[in-house]
Amino acid sequence: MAAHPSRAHGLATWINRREWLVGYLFASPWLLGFLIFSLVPILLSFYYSFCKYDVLRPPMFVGLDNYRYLFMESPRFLTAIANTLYYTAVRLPLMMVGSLALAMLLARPMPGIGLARTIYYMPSIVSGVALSIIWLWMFNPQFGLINRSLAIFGVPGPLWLESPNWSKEAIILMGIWSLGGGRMVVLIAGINAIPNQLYEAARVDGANRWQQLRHITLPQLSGPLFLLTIVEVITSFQVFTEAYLMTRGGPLNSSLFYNLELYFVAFQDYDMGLASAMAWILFAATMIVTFLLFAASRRLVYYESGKP
Amino acid sequence: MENPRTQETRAGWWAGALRLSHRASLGLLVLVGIWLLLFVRSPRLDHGDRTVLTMWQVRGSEDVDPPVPQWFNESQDQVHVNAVGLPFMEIEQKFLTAAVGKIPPDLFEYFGSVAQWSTRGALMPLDEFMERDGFDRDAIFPALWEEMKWDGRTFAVPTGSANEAFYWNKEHFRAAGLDPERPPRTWRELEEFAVKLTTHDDQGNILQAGYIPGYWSPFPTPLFLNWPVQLGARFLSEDGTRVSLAQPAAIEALDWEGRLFERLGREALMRRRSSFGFGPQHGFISGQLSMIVHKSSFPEEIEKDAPNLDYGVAPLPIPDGGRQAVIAGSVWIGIPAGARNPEAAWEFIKFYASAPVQARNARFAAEMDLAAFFPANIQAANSGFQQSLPHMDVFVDSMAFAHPSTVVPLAHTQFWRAYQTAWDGVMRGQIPAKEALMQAEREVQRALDQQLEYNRFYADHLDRRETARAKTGGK
Amino acid sequence: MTIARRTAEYVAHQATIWVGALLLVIPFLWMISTSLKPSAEIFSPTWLPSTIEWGNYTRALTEIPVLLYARNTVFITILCIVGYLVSGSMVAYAFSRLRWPGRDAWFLVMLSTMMLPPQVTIVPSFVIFRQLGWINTYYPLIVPAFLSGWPFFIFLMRQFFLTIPQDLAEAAKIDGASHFMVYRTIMLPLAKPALATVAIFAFFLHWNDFFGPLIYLTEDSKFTLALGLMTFAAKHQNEWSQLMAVSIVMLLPSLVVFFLCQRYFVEGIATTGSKG
Repeated sequence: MAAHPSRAHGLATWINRREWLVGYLFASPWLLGFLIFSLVPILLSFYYSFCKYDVLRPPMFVGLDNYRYLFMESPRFLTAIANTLYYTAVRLPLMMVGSLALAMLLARPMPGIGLARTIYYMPSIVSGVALSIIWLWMFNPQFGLINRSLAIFGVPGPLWLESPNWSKEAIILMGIWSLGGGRMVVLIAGINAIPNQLYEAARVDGANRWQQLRHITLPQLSGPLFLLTIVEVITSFQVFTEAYLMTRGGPLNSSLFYNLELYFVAFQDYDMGLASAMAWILFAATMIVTFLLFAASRRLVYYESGKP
Repeated sequence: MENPRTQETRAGWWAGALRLSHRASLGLLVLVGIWLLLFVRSPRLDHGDRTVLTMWQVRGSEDVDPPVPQWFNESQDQVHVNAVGLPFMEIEQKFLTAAVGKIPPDLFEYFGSVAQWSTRGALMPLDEFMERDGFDRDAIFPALWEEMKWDGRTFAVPTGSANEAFYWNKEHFRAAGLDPERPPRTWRELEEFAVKLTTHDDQGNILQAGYIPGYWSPFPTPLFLNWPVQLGARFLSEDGTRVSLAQPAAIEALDWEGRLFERLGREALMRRRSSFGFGPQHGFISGQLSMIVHKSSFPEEIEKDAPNLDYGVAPLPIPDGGRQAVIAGSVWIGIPAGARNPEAAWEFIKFYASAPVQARNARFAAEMDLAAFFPANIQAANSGFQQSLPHMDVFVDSMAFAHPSTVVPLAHTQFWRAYQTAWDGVMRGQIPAKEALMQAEREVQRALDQQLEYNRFYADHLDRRETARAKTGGK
Repeated sequence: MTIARRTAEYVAHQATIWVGALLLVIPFLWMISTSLKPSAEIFSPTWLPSTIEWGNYTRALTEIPVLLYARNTVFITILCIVGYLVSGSMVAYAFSRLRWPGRDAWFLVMLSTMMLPPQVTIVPSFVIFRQLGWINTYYPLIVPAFLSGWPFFIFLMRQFFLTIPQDLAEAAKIDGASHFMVYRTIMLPLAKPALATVAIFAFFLHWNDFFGPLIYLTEDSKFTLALGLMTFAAKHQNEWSQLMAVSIVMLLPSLVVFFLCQRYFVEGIATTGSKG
């Protein structure tokens, strides 16, 4: 029996004419994954947020009690929110501007570019455990490198991680060491994707460096920058590892971030219901911020090919 | 900004060589990957027709495999226990998911609170086994059993004990004109000695700290429960429904500690405390702190990091009108609910808890310099060898007035967190003791209430299931 | 631009990069020196250990079956990379170049899945995998990659696809190419930098991931390198020199891979765009 290429071909053409079908087919890996692996846990966690649930035994419905407790009674809920907002607000501009600057420095080939990029990228792949040890030492008020360097200039260093006033700042500063991570990589790829013709044309027109930056680089990068900003907000809202490993939320809950408090509630108190409520509040907050960012992006983000 | 192309042609042979070595390295990487995939195989472990049990535990600083499972495997040929070491920070999560997924290990050894697991039905009650085999509970320190029990049943067996004592630096005492063989015996003496032993520099910074309340390790969790317990504080009502943190004994103890902290120089004290580190840089070990309340594992650490330190160990100072009390903890072993071979697992537990094995294990640990716990078995703890370990007599004797660290089984972590917050606030002088404890009490009571409500719900749920089963069974 | 100005710029450029790199490297130097110090000296401010303790490294490499764990890790990582590349690019194509009903809504849903902290979905996820009988297998670690379980990669590629001008696709379609052909012959080749970026990120994600293997694997012969080293590190919690050695061991392969692959996400874009 000869094969019937025409039948297969016919099917392909039939499918191809219906863009909606093609769309769903191409998106099917994610759709399937979402429906099978994500949807149920997400719906369950939503249900749990209205229950008292210790994971090992069935959930007990308590209505809005978890939410009410969080907003009215919890001694740490508002602190956790404040800490996380502060952290995000300070860190976001720092990271975006910093990564962009780094990416611009390291975008074009030059002797040793591989080595340079690797050195800048290295900090972002150090494991959390090592990271916390390194920075615990760096921030040590007595022997740490940072205070000792400050002492050279006659500046008395604060207690950093042991001070309620400086613990968040210390954690934010740690981020600067890892500026050259994934963000930088994405931006380097993005910068290299900008056609040279644009710069040449601009130079011919007499534009200087800053103007080139403002009118070519930034708009061309606005897509990746927007993407990175959203991801940065999402991950900053969920900051956890550094505080978990180094300060455990202290001193005096100054570094008690939202996700850390959530973790304590979920896996120390085993109050999964309360933790789920916290998770969904975080979700709502993130949605709102993202929504606002998207609205802003209509005016700021430039797509080469027009809007999708 | 240059065009990458022109730069490449300019570099010429160098770039070519670079490209070649680059390709070669990538090629090598790929080859290594392929070799790993094809030629590395996992070793086959054959245990014949023994029943294989898996035990989860946290590995301490050991370079060797835990000895007790090995000895057990050697002593008989029906059961093989395979000990799997897990990271300390994640072991609870892994155990939780395994329990939920109904694939728990056969044995679980841990040093956290038993109540976390026993009150939630994650451990199997062992009373039947104990009755059937005539397990001698009295062979183990009585103070340790309270934490193993819940709702009248026993869920775990202690295999190691730990408690705390008072340590002082004899050199410092001599230098300050105090009798080096006489530690403070009362709270008042502790305070007076501390003031005498603290020295300052010209700027007011503390050079030698006499005593720092709560400090025992660089980690933020303070030790604080022993003082209120010495004054007779009882945190949980008899029926287990009411929690009392803002009681006179607790307020007095916390207030005293806060005033002591202030008297010794609050800010300067905190600075000094944060200058201490781990290991040899520990405040007491490095000779910068004169007196400290620390655990029974401390002598081992001192031996390792400062073997020449001239120090003494004694029971804690007590308040006027109070009595001696220490907080004891243990490492315990239990059988997870739903484990498939409880009989075989129980055999291992009996083995582990027996006097000879306890003694042998303690000796092994001491020789390997990793004795974080001393035996839970009384006989083993009093053996010649055990008693020959430095200061072990103090710790073993202290078991006579030891109290468990799980004070509110149904709200254990909430209790400790709330108490710690109160303690921190009082030490920093931000809130008076009574108010701090009242806040803490509110929080813990709420958690307890909710947990009790849930337990009622769960009991109903079980009842309903039973009746449903009875009905369908009856048909 | 005068030659002098250009040189000055070049020097400034280089100086910034290399001085920065030097500063960045200092903590690493401390890591290395600590990993070779005997434990008594860890906190002393000296850089050079009095005696070099290679033992920290030999212990880290001999106490765990490094080759076995490496093999497991390589296996998982390679499969995941393939999974992300294939499924991620397909899904990204659907979200960027195809019009289908509900597309923007689904995109929002995908975005939302990243906003829920994973702590609360761990347990239900575990139960699902348990029902599927996948505990103690590699499936929970690999299958999500083929089903685009990491939305970030999809975003990245979608972003990149959006920058590719539509004219190319239009031209091809006028010539009779199907959507699939456009995807395969036009979008994919042009998206090489994005693909390389995703591959590198995917590599690091899985090479360093120890939490997934920790929760889903119960047999230690199946452990990955990251998990093995973490467990080993947990055994030696207060021995910072040992921990540093372990971290460096974990770091080195990643560095080598990054160094060798970093050029790929900038290569191949000499001509983007049909203009000019």
